[in-house]
Amino acid sequence: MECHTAPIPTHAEAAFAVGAATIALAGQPNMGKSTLFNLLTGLNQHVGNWPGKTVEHREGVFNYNDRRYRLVDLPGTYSLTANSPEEVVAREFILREKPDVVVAVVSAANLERSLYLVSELICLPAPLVVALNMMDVAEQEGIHVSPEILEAALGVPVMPVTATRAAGVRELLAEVERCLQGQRRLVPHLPEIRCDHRETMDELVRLMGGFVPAPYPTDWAAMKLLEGDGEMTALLEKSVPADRWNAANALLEKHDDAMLAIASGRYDWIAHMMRAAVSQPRLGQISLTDRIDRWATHPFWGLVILAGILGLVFWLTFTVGAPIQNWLDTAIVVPLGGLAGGLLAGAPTWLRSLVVDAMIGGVGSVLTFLPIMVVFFASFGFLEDVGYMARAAFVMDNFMHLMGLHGKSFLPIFLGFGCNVPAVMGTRVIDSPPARLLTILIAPLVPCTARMAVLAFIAPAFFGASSMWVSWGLILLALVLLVLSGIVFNRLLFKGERSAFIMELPLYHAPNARTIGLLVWQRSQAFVKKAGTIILAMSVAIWILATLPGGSLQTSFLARLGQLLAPVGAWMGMDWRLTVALLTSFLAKENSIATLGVLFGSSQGAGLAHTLAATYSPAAGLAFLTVSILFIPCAATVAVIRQETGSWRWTLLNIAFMLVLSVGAGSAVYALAKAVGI
Amino acid sequence: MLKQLLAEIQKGGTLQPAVLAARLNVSVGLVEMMLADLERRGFLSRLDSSCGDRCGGCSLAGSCGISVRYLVTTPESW
Repeated sequence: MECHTAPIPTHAEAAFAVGAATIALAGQPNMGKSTLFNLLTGLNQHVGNWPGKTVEHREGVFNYNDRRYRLVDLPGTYSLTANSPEEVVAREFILREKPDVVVAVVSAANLERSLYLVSELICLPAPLVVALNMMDVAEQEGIHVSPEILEAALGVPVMPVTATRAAGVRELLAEVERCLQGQRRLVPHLPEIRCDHRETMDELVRLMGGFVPAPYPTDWAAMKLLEGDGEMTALLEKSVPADRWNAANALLEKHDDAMLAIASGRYDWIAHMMRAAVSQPRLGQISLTDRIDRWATHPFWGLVILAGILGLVFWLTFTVGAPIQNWLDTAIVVPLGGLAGGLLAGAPTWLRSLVVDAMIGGVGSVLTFLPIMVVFFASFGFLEDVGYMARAAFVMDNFMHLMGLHGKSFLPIFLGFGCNVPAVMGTRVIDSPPARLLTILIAPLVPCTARMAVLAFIAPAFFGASSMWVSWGLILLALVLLVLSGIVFNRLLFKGERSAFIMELPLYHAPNARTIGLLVWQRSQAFVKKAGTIILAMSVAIWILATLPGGSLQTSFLARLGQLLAPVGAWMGMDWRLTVALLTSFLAKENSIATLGVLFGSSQGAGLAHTLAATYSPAAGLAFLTVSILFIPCAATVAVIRQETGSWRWTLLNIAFMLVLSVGAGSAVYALAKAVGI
Repeated sequence: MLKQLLAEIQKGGTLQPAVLAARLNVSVGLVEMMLADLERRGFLSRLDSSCGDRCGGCSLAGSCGISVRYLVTTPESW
């Protein structure tokens, strides 16, 4: 980048001679700049605000070799482009106040991040000294930075320091003093601009020449113009004659990629500095991550591992969680219902029914869910803590790409595996409105965590030891439907459009029992809290509908509604109670279990799971699970669909689509199950 | 360098900073810095995988998002 060189101004030597030299400390936040400032100035500092800004201004004085120096701590910034008030303050100070030396505090442990600012400072007309701080941290991390080579590569003095221990600070000050005395006359090596933009830069310098207000150097101002710096653009627009400004603007419009070219030049420069001066042995942890990822993110083996892990989670759920859930159901909820019934024997029938059926039956059934949820939370918490969940997302997206389904459509959909709400919101990345709309329509096909949890509760009741395979199969069915929809949409709408998806994969590390324990505790607490509030309210509402008008379930409002839908339920082998349970899952998926708890009551002498298995055939159970996995999304998702589509028509269409699909799939599965004798 | 990175991203697919770093023969840290730069300039956008406070009625709210940062491309600005 053809910025001017930085000759030592003679006023620096003059300032040094009279003992009034100003040193500016520049650097990114958290690079140890304030530590160095405090170390040098001690109590001789004052803090205020920069004139007209809310940015903190710290300034102080210190003595070195019997001379007094003024030290200004510039705000921490990542660059000198006018992105923030801090960046404006820092560059205005250097350009207007003309400090005699600028000391750039950089971190040896994080050098590349620090060097971007240096690539800008080195272009300014102020002598620069680099304080290579945190040398101790770099050594601890196995990073070796050679100050001598870095100095040769940068063309400015580089002094290693460890500000926290005051190591190297005296040598740094001696170097600053040599600069002030004009004893160090190095030639800075500046970032380069590509030759195809060199001419543009020269032309801009010619057009701006003589009209750039002081104190800005013309070539620096031209470069900032090319970089798209808003503040400099506004300033030049006012000061450059209209004909010249229009010509410059036309040039900028023609070369609108120059901004990237300049930043590219800076990154090339940083990469060059890093290659020259830094050696960073690969850490064992990184190697371990690489070794595991060779398998875990492999296009084929990654999927096999993911399927295996998903199977293991279900196996754990059914082996550990389901028996405890079953025990809670039969040993706690049922006796509790009996006990409450006994205690309320003299109370009105409706009150006894409210407590036993709605509260204990509904909420109790959902609370027995807790062991299953704990296994879920612990399993996913463990996978997240060790760093695997990111890989799961990575291999799934990779798989979608291999299927020809580009991330643009499937990326938001993938988010739906956690919850459908971010999936629908994630469709904002899709540019084409029709494509976005259709992606929103199929996003709820993804089996979210809540649907999987319902699956984990119901499957063991009907399928015992085969639950794992049934659950797997149903998730696979949902994925097949997704992929089929995706292929159709991709062919019709995206027409092979390319898109990329960049994931930041964390390093693998040993699981932390405390972190996972805390996570399980917090999530379980939240689950129980919701069960005690929303699910309780829902259970009471269901109970009221199941009781009114005459107190008999069979003639209740709920039964009438269920019987209206019974013909459709019959296609899937489901009676009105299962149909109604599905309907209530609209508010939250686990409400279907609460509803079944209310409808079957806890006073029948057996747990809900046993009652369900005794009441319905496995074929009906399988159909119920199929519909549950594909059923209309929950209320929160519907609300987000309405918000994102801005249309009730599309929202209702989505509900209708999911309804038709789920009922169709449920009926087909039921017919197939009957045909094969399940 | 930034343009090379953008060219790699434009090829499409599921990418990791480490893979991009290997392709460009630079450190992962530098690639992450450049990704942040491209994001700031509007060439990439970040995707939030959490449901935030929209799932107040869900008993699993807050426990379903995967803590991964996603960056997706926004071709209209290329």
